[in-house]
This record gives sequence, C-alpha cells and structure tokens, in this order.
Amino acid sequence: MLRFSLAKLAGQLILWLLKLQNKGGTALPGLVALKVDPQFVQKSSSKLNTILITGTNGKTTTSRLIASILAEAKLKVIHNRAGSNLLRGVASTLLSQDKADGAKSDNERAGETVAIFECDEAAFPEIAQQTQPKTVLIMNLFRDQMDRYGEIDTTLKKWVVALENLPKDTKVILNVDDPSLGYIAYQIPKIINFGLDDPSLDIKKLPHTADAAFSPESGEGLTYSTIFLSHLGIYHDPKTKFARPHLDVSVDKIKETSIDGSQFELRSVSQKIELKTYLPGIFNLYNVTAAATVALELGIDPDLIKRAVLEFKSAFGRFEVINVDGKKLVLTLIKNPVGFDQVIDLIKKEKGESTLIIGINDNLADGTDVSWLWDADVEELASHQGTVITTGLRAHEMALRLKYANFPASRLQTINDLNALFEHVAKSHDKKYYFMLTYTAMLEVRGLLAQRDLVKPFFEDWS
Amino acid sequence: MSFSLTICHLYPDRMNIYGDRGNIFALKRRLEWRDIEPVIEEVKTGDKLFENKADFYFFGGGQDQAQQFIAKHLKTKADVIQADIENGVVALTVCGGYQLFGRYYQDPTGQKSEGLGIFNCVTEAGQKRKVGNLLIETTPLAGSILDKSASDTPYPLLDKSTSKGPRQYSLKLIGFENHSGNTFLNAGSEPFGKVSQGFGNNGQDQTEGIRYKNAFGTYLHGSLLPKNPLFADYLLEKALQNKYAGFELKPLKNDLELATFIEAQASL
Repeated sequence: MLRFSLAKLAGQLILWLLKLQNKGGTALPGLVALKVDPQFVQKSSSKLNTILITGTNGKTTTSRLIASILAEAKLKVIHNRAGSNLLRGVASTLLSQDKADGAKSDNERAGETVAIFECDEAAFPEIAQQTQPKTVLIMNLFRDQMDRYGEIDTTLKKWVVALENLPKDTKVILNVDDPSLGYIAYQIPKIINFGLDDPSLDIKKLPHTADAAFSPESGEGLTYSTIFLSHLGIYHDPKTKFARPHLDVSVDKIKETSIDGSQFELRSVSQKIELKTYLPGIFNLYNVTAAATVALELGIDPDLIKRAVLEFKSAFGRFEVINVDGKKLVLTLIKNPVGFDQVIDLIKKEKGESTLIIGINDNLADGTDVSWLWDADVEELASHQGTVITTGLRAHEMALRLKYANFPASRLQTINDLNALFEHVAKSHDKKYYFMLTYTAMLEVRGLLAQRDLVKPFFEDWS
Repeated sequence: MSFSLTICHLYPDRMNIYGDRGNIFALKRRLEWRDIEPVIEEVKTGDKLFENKADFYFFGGGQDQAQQFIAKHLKTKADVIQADIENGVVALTVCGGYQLFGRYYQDPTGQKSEGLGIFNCVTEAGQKRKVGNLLIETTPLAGSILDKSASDTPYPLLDKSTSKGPRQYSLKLIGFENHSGNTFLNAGSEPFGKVSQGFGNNGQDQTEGIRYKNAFGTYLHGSLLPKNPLFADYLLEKALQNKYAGFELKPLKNDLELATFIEAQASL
C-alpha cells in the first residue's frame, strides 16, 4: 500500500513538473511510477471497467471512436488518447486521471468509469495481464516496424497466450477478416467476430503486402472468395476445414465508401444499424465497425452510436485537413506498407492537381529499419501528375524508392529542412498538398504548424 | 543484337519479408536503363525449375515458419540449383535465403531444417535478436564496371589492387540486419565481407555473409542493392558475361544512390 502511494506521488510530481514546462507527460510520469511500484497499473486499474484495443493499424482512431461513443452515452472515460500505448503510457494516463478526480472514493467513481487503452502490439500481453480487462478488441496484424517485433508469427503466439490467461468472462472481439485473428477465434472460447461481407468491395487480387495469406493450419496458400484490403477478406484453406469463422457482427451492405467517408449497414444478431462516417476509405470502415461492435457489446443505444460516429473527426495526422492561405494541407500518418498503400490508394482517387510531400524519419518511434518502403506499392504513384517532395532523415531513401518506381526525376525534389519546405509550399501555386509522414516527422510538422497557431499541439487534442 | 537476363526469384510469396523485393526492382531497372531486357521468373512451391535457365538467382528472407515450410520444398529443386551454382550462375541470397543455401538451419526448439549445402556454413538460432544498421567492407571484387566506376564516381570503393594481380576493390555496403540466427562459416569458406559496424554473421567473429563462386549470402536488408548500386552492377555484369562473352556494362550516374548511402551512414 505504501509502495503504491509512493509511486502515485512520484508519478504525479513528474507530471506536474512536465505540465509546468508545457510538455506532454504521456510517458515519463508512468515510467517513474512503475519503477517505484511495478504493480502500479494493476493496482490503479483493479476497479475499472477496462477495454483494451490492439492491432497494427487503426488503434488510435478506433479508441477515439469508442471514447466518443461512450461520451455520447454520458459515461465517464479514462483514455490514453494521445496514443502513448506502452505500459508506461497506460500508467501515465491513470496518474493524470486520478489527479483530476480529486478525493472521490474508488468505489463511488469506478462503477461508472470506463478505461480505454490502446496498446502497442508487443506491450499488449503485459498490459492485459496488469489491467485484467473486461473487453479486448484486436483489429488486425500486418508487418510493421520489423526492427521492434521481430516477426508477425511471434506476436500472434504471444497474443494467444495473453488471451488464454484473461478472466473467463472477458469479451474478446476480433476482426476475423484477418486470417491470423480467424485462427485465434478457433483457439479461444467466447469470441465476438466481426468483418465485412459485401462482395462489391472485392479488390480481386492479393497485393504484395498480404503477408498472412497462408493458412496458420496447413501452411498452404489461402483461397479468397473476396479480398477487401491487403490480406483481409473471406478466406478458406483448400486443404483443411480452416476458414473465416461465422460473423456475429457484419457489414453486408455498403452504400458508399471513398475519401469523403462511408455509408453502410451494420448487422448484429439482434439488430441492423445504418452508419455514416466522414472518415475516409475502407480501413476506416473497419475502424468504425470495430468501435460500433464494442459499443453494442457494452449495451450502448444504437442511436447514440450513430450520432457519435457521424460527428467524429479524425485524430491528429489521420487525414487531418488544415486550410491556410487558400491552400489545403492534408496530413496523413504512414507507418508500414499496408498503411502507406491505403493512403496512396485514396490519394490516387482524388481529382485535381496536388503536390505530395513524403517525410520519412527513422527514429525509434518511426521504426529504425526503412526496408518497409520497398514493400509499399510506391509504383502506384508513378502516374501522379504533380510534384513529389521528399523530406525527413531518410529523404533520399524515399527519393531513391521513387526513382526505382520510375517516377520522373524532373518532378521529384528533396527538401530536408522543414522551414525551407514550408516556404516552398507558401510560394508554390498548387492548392492541395498531401503530407505522408512517419510518426516523428508528423510531430515535427505539426509542431511547426502549432507554432503558427494552425493546429493544437498533439497532447492538447482533447476535443 | 538485343540482350536479356533471366532472373529467377525463388519463393517470392513466402520469402519476402523486410523489403527484399527492392533488390529485384534494382536489378530490373538497372538492366532496363541499359536497354537490356529483364525477365523475372517467379518460382513458387509446386513450380518446376529447369537447369541452365536462370542467369541469376535471387532468394530473400522470411519468418521461421515460412523458412521451415520452404526448406522441405527446396529439396525438389536442389539438384538444379546446385548444378547451376557450380557452373558459375550468379546468386544473391539474403537472410533466410542465405541460411537455406547453407548446410542447415536450427530453430530455437532445436529442430534442424536441411539446406542446399551450397554454402559451407551452418546457422543456429541464438538467444538475442541481432537488429540494427549494418556496415561492411566486402572481400575484394574484380570487374570492368568497378574499374570504370573507380575513375568516374567518388564512391564507397576501396582499391585493393596488388601490383601483380588484376584490379580489385572492396566495396563498403550499408543496410539493416534483423536475425536471431547465428551463422558460422566452416573451415575453407570465404566470408562476403568484414563487419565495420553491426553484428554480421554471429556478432562474434566480425564476418558478414559468405561467397562461393558467383553466389553470395548476406544479412543485409535495406534493401541491399538500391543504395549499393556498384554491387548490383558487379553482379549484373558477372551474369551478363556468363551469357555474352566479353560483355561490359555501361556505367550509370549514381548520385542519388550515393546520397542515400551517406544518409544511411548518419543513422549508424
């Protein structure tokens, strides 16, 4: 008890000091608290109704969607919304929240408080073990930041072990359009499966990045009757009985899906809901479906879900639109081949001229191995009519990637310095600029825009 | 006369992790830019492989499970590949592909997957994963494209010519490694290069990769060839000379490649 109190005190002190300096405080306070008491997260979260979200892509958007829906339903929410998703990030969130609550007793508040934590794929087992969540949502598993995770197969195995060790009544919600998650569904009891079911979305061919297209059972190539995105689709193993499990929640009628958003029908065992979102593309269709499924499992009124989804705006850097001096800047985050491919796909469908700005850093948070750029289908950009500017610590690597994708050198530029880049944007005639940035490059760009008061700093994004 | 080169890409669907297909892009474009037609033959499980068809073999890296699966299927192609390599066909094998060209690969549970035995080396899974930027200096290589580049372009090229023999050079190569396997070269094997920074084959003996005749094994991802274009050209020229006696590759401008190499060095 004493150790826990000391940990809380130490963490809150660091948090206070950081806030004084106008810094984020989304990781360090938690790290300090955990050093003092390694069971800090376990003790702080023991009385909370916790939802954990993990996967390669879509965690932040989906977590924010769930938070919005619960806020619409007037529930009190604790959430690591800035995206600090290691154990220390969860600890920091618990510290901030506790401070805000003041002197209310644990029992009184905890009953109506829902904790939403997005979890890094490698940190998920540890966070699950400490928070003992009531609900777990797994979005997908793609190759990503290979230098951190080593291998996709290893991550999958660790997830299965983590899920097996959860309380028996924990609800596990899986996107079984992903064969890796379909495989988990057969191994864990009490799974709620969701996926897409509309054949009109079929992209017909597995892209290069479809890395889980082999049966976890037999190792043979899976046969797909429909492919929605990368290796997500309706699949079966030609040699065994392994196939996409039956869907508890499905999207079978998609009226429209584009860069302007989607309109579709979500069907669960007991009801049908019409959902409309302004979030672009199919990957967001998955995000909205995931969030709605979690909300339905929590018993939230469908009308509240509809409203929250309709009003939801993207998280920072996820197709974030900034208008400045008659120019439209669109900021998108890229982290791995699948995400990059999706962004390229959406941008290609846009009409009118635009300049593309691709910023690649290789700091720890971006992933230090840039090999992933060669797995992305950058060849799809060869038909882009406007200029492409590369920037960041690995700007030349990206320019080289484009050179080998046969993008014409006459329309390819490299501007390393961000201030020089923004000066160039200010002087140039194009009206639209699509920024595709890795994580720390996004922070730098947004930092510059925040200085000019065009966006809020990322940790203040409490909207 | 029109020229072409057939590149046999082994198991591109399963041994394709870590961006290794960038090497295929590099080879393809660098041939096209010289008006040589690249023919990429993808060979997957169930496809037949014929002797003397490939002018060049490429074999990338994969995850443990994929590697074990492939090891079994590889046996059906062993004779052809071994014969071709003995005949001097050029091969570039990276990570998992490199390990499978060796004698065996032993996974963390102790299970051994037999390799092709083309390279006289063995790989055993280690405790620690060896991840990070990797800089090496190759053992001396000789080729007219290297002679030409030595005078044209300032480059990570080190002249190792002796007064007696032909002109030869060590190339500095840069990339990224990610492997738990420790590869040990058996007596008599020649390493591909010496580690300047990073782990290399096993983090102990400073060797990186292996070479046998015109076959090379390495742990360099990145991808390897795009920002190490002289090595790409060295391999292409060797393969073309096997096919068209006396063939000499025209040099290309490598300014962007060099800038990318220097940029990568800053991350070491």
